[in-house]
Amino acid sequence: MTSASVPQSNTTTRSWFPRNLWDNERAVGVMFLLPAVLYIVLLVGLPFLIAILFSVSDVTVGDTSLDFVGTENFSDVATVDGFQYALANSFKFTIISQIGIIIMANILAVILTQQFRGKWFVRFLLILPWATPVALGTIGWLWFFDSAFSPIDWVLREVFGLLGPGTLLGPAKNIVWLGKPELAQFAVILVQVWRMTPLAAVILMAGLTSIPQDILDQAEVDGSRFFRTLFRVKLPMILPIMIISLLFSTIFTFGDMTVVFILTRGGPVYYTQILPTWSFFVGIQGGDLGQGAAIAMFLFPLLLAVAVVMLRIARRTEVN
Amino acid sequence: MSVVEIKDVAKQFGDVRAVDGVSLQISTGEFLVILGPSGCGKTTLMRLVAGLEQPSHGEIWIGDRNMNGLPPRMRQIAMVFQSYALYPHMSVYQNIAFPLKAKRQELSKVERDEKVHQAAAMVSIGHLLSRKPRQLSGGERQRVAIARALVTEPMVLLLDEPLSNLDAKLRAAARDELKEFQRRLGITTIFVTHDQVEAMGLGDRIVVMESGKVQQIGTPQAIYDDPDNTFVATFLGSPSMNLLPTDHYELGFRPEHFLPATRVDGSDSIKFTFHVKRVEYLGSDRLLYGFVDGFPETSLTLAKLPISVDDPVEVGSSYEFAVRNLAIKRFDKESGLRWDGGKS
Repeated sequence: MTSASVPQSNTTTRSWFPRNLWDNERAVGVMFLLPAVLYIVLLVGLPFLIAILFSVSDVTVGDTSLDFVGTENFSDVATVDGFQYALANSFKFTIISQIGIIIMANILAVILTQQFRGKWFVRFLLILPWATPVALGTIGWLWFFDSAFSPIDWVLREVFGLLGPGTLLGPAKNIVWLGKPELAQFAVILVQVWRMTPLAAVILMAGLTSIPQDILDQAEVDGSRFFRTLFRVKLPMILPIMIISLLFSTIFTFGDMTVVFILTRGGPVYYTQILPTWSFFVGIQGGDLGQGAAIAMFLFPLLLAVAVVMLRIARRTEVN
Repeated sequence: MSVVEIKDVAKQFGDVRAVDGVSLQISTGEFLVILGPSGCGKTTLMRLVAGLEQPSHGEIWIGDRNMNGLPPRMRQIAMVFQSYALYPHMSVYQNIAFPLKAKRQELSKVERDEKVHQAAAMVSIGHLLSRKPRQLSGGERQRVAIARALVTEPMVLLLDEPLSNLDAKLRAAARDELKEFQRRLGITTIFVTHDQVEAMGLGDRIVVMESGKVQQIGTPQAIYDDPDNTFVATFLGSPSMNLLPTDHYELGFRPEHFLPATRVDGSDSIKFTFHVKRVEYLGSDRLLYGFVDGFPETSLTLAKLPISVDDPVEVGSSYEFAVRNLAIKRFDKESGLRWDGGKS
C-alpha cells in the first residue's frame, strides 16, 4: 500500500508545495521582493548596461555589430554645437524651473491648507496638470503658443490692446512664442513649472498638515504673525520634505524629453535643445546608436550626483 | 486685586457647549488649578484665556482690559502646552528667544541675549542653550518650555497639563519645583490638570469643572472636606467618597472617616453594621470592601483603616463601624447638590 492511499497522509500528496511556506519569513520575503527585483533588473538594469555597451561601440541602425571604440563616441559628441547647447539648456531649464516650482508649490500649499469654501474643487483643479498625460498637456500648450492663433496673443491684442501696429508690444499681430530663442526657452520652462508644481504642492501640503497644532498654537501665543510663522516655523519644519519634493521634480524635469519634443523639437536652431532630445535626434532619428547612447550617458552622473546630494541634505536636516 | 476675570463665558463648538457659563476671578500671584475629567472643558477654558479661541458669550478681562477679540500676542500671557511644543529645528537658545523676536519688543541684541540667559538660569538650563530639543530629556524640555514662557515677563502663565508627559518619579520632583518656583516669582498661574493629586498639591484654589460648568471653587481643603455636590465628592479622593441612598437624600462619608465604632467618639456619631467582603492590604493602609445594614448590598461601601488602627478584621464577618456626624455630608438624590447646605 502506498502512503497516498492512507487517508491521514493526504498532505503528503501535495508535498511539492510546502504547507508552512507562509510561515517562513525568508521565503516570503524573497517572494515579495522578486517582482520588484525582476522589474528593476529587466527594465532598468539591462537597458542601462546595453546603453553603456552602445556608448563605447560603433553600433548604428544600419550596422548592429558591436565594435569597441573606447571613448571615441564621447569625444565626438562633445565637440558638436547641438550637444553643447543641449548640455547648457538641460541645466538652465532644470534650475530655473525648480525655482519656479518650489515658489509656486509653497504658495499653493499654504493657500490649500487654509480653510475656505470650495477647497476640494481647487484641490481637484490643482491635481489636473499632474494627472494629465504629459503629451496631452503639452499639446494644449502648443496651441496656446501657436504662431497665428495663440489665445494668449488674442487676449493681449483684443482685450488689453498691447499687441498689433502702434502698441506697446510692437507692430506684429503675433508674438510667435516658439519662434524666438528667449521666448521658446521661457515657454519650455513655463510648461515644466506648470506640470511639476501640483506634485510638489501636494507633497508640501502633506508636510504642512503634519506639523502638530500645538506648535502652531505656541507660535501664536509667542506673538508670531503669519509670515514669521511661515518662514521661521513652518517652512524650516518641512524642509526635509521640501528637499525630497525638489529631488523628484529635478529628476523628472532633467530627464524629460516630451515637453521640448512636442513644443519646439529643440528649435529654433539649438536654442531649446536638451540632452534627452539631442540623444533621441542623434541616436534614433540620426541612426547613430553609439553616439545617442553616449549623449544619454551624460545624464547619468548628473542625476546620480543630484540624488546623492539631496538625500544627504534631507538626512541632515531631518527633525524629530 | 484680580488679574484675570472671566465673566459668564461660554464656548460653543457646533452642537457641543464646551464651556458653559463660567465665571471666575483670579487674583495677583495666585496659583489656580482647573481640575476635571477629560472633555470637561478645562483646556478650552484655558485656550479662551490665551486667546486661541474666542468666546461665544461672555467676557474675559486681563489686567484692566477686555480681551475679547484680541489675539494672544496682545494679552500679556504665556503658555506651556502638554507636549511642550518646542520648535524642533531651533536650539534651546533660539526657542527661548523666539517670543522676544516675535513680539517685536524693542530690544537690542545684548538685552535680548541677557533676557534669554536670565530665563534659562531661572530654570537651571543655562548649560543646554546650544542643544536641540531632541537632545533633551522630558524634564529638560519642560524647563525650556517654561523658560520660553517666562522670558517675556507675562502677567499670567498658563500651564496645560505640563507634568503629564513626565514619568511618575520625575513628576513629583517637577511638581515640587514648579510650586516653589511660582511662589518665588509670584507670577499669576492657571494650571489645567485631570490629576487630583497635582491639583491638591499645587493649587491655592481649585476650580472643579464638569460638562463645561464650574462645579465648585475653593481651597484644596474646602473642596475635599466640603464638596458642593456628588460629582466633586466622588471625583476627589482615592478611594472616593461612599454614597449611601436613603429615602430622602444620599449619605456621603469618606472611607478614612469610616472606622471601628470603638475608635470613634460615641456621643456624636452614626453607627453602622459593616459586612466585610474583601480586604486589601496597602502597606500604610487597609482597604475594607463591604456593605452596611439597611442599605442594598449593591451600594459598595469602603473603609480605609490607617496602620495605627490594627483591629483584627476577617473577611465574611460583620463589625460595628461608625462615622462622626461632622464627617457626614447629605446630598439631594435628584440634583446631587448638598442637602444640608454645605459648609457643615
